[in-house]
Amino acid sequence: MSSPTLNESKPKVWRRIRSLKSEGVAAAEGLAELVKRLSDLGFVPNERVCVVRRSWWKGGALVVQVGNATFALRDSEAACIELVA
Amino acid sequence: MNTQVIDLNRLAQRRVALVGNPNCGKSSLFNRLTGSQQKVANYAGVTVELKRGRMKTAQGKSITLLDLPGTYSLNPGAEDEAVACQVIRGESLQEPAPDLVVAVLDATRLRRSLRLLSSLRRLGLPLVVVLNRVDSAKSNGLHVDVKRLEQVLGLPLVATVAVQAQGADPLRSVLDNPLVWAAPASPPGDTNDDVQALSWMLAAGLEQDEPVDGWSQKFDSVLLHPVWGSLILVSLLFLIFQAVFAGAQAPMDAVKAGVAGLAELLAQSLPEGLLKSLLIDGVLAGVGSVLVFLPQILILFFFILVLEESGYLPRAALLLDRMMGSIGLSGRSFIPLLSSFACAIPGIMATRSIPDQRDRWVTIMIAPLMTCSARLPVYALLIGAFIPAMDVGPGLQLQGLVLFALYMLGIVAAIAVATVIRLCRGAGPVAQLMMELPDYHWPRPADVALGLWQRAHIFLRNVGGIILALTVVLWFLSSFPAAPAGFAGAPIEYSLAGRMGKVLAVVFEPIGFNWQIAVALIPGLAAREVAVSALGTVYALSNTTDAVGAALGPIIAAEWSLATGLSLLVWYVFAPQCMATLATVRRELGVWRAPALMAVYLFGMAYAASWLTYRAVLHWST
Repeated sequence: MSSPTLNESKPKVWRRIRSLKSEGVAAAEGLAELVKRLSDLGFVPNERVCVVRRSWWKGGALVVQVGNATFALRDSEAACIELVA
Repeated sequence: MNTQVIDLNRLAQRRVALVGNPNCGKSSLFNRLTGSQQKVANYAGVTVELKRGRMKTAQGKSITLLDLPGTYSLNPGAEDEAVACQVIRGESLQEPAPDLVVAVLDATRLRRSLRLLSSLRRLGLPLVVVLNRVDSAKSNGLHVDVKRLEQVLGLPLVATVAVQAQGADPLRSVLDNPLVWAAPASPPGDTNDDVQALSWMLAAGLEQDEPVDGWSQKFDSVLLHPVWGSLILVSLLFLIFQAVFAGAQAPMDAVKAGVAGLAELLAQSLPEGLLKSLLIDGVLAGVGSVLVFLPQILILFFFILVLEESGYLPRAALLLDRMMGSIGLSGRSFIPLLSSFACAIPGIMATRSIPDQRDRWVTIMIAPLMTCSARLPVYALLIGAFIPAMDVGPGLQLQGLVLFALYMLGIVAAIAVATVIRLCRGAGPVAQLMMELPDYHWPRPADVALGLWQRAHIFLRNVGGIILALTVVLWFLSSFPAAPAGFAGAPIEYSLAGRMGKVLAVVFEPIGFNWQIAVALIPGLAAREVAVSALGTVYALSNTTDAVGAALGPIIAAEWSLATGLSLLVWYVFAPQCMATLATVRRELGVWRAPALMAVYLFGMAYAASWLTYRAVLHWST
C-alpha cells in the first residue's frame, strides 16, 4: 500500500501529512538527514499542507504551504512527504 | 552613585543572546533594542557572523546583546545555524556562553517556534520568551492569551511588536527583574519537541496555526508566476541599474563641486611645491575621484536592502532556481552570490550556509564574477566617459543598458564557469532546496537606513584608509625621482611608477592598455576602486597644463580610444583585482590551491575577453 505524496498532490488543494518517508525514495542518499530537516521546518504528521504553485516544467521546484508558512521544495523533497489519502 | 556605577559595569558584561527561527522578526527587534549602538560588522549582508550590540534596560542598565543567525532547530544542517547552536551551548571558542537566552517566538508561526523553545529549555540557561508579531497574528484572526501562555510555559513572557517604536519596551522592563537571570532549577529531560509544542498550545487554548490566504499569497500568485514573475524580476533589476545612473547625477555633481572647490582653495592658499602637489594631485585627485561614487553605491544598496527586507529575495532565488539547477547549483547558492554583488568577501563567507561541500566550492569559485560594488566606480567612470547618454528606446537609456549588460556578462560568465566545472567533476546529486518564502512586509525605513549607514561607513572607511594610503604611496612613486631639467614629456614618465608602467605596458599593449592604466592596475590589486583614484593621481601628475580639480572622465575620454575604454571595462568584469577576496577563499577552503586556481582562471578570462573586445572594436570602428 502506498500513500499519495505531496509532489503528486493537485495545486490549491489542502491535505494533511501522514508521515515522512523513511525508504523507497529516488534520492535515498542522505534521506535520514533530509527527513530530519523537513520535520525541523514544520513538515510534521497531521499538519496541513497545500501545493501553491507547480513549476511549469517537469520535476521543477514546488511552492508549498505548510500551516501558514510557505516553502520552496524540490520535487524529490516533496516526494518524501506522505499524505493522508 | 558609586554602587550604581559598579552595578552598571557588572551588568555591561552580561550577555544576552537573541534566538529564533529565520524571519521571525529577530533582526528588527535587535535593531530596535540597540539602535545605532551596534558594532558594525565588517560586512553588511546576510547574518552569518554574529552581530553584537549594546542595549539599555528600562532602568538604564547596559547589556551586551548578541544577534544569532536564525535557526529552525538545535541540530542544524548548515554552518550558519551551527554558529548559533555553538554559541548558545557555549561551545564556541570566540564567544563565551550567554548569561541569558531570549527566545523570540513568531506569533503567526507558533507551533514551530514552540518546538525550538522546547529544545532551548533543555540547555538549562535562564530563558526569557518574547512573543513577536502579535499584531500580525491578530489580523490573521489568531488571538493569543499572553497571561495564559506564560502560565503554561512557566517562563517569563512578554509580547512585542518589533516594528513599532515602543514595541520592544516590555522586554527592556523584564530584563530589570533579577529573577529572570536565575537559572531554572532543573532542565527537563529528553522530550519530543513537537509533542511538547502541541501540548503547550492545547493547554494555552491555542488552535493549530490555521492556513491563511493573505496578502502574501495574493502577491505570490503574480510574482511567482512563471511568465509574469520572471518578467517582473528582469524589469525590476533593469530599473535598479537605470536608477543608479539617473538618480545619482545631482549628488555626484555636488561631491565633485565640493572636491573641486577644496582643490581651488588649497591651490590659492598653499605655496608652490611638493606639499601642494601631494595634497592636490595626490590626495584630492585620488580620493576625490572615488568619493564621487558614494551616491551610486547608496542607491544600489537602497534597492538591495528594500528587496531583502520585503521578503522578495528568496522568491527571486526560486525564479532563478531552474537556471541555477541547470548549472548544478541549488537555490541556496543564490543568497551568497547576491551578497557578492556587494562584495565577494561576505558572499564567500555566506557560502557557509550551503550544506553541500561541492556546491559550496563551485559557489565560491564563481562568486568573484558577480559584479561587486567596488567595480561600480570603475564602470561608472568608464561608462560616463565612453558611452553617450542617449535614449535607445522609450524609457531605455544607453548608459543604464551598458551597466546592465556588464552585470549580465559577469552572470553569464559565472554560469559558463560553473557548467565547465560540473562537466569536469561529474554531475553529482541535486542539491537541497528547502527554502522558506517569508511573508511580504513593508521594509522598515529605520532598518533600511541603518543598512545604508553601515554600507556608507564601510565605503568611507576604505576611502579614508587603504585608498588614501595607496594614493599617497602612488603619488610618491609617480613623483620621484624628479625629472631632470629639459626632460621632454611629463615628469611622471621619468618617475619610478612611470617606468614600471612602461615595462608592464608591453604585456598589456595587445589588449589596448596604455602605461597609465598599467600603473593604475597595480594599486588596484588591493581594492578595485583604487584603480580610479590611481588614474586620478596619474593623470593629475601627467598633465602639465591642468586645470585644478579637472574631472577624470573628460580627460580619459579625450586620451583613450573607444576600444581601450571598452577593453578596460571588460577587463574589470573578470580580473581578480582584489587580494582580500583571494585571502578569504584561502581562509574558507583551507588550501592555497583554490585561490591560485581562481586567480589563474580569472586572469586568463580577463585577458582573453579584453583582447577580443579590443580587436573587435578596432576592427569595427575602422
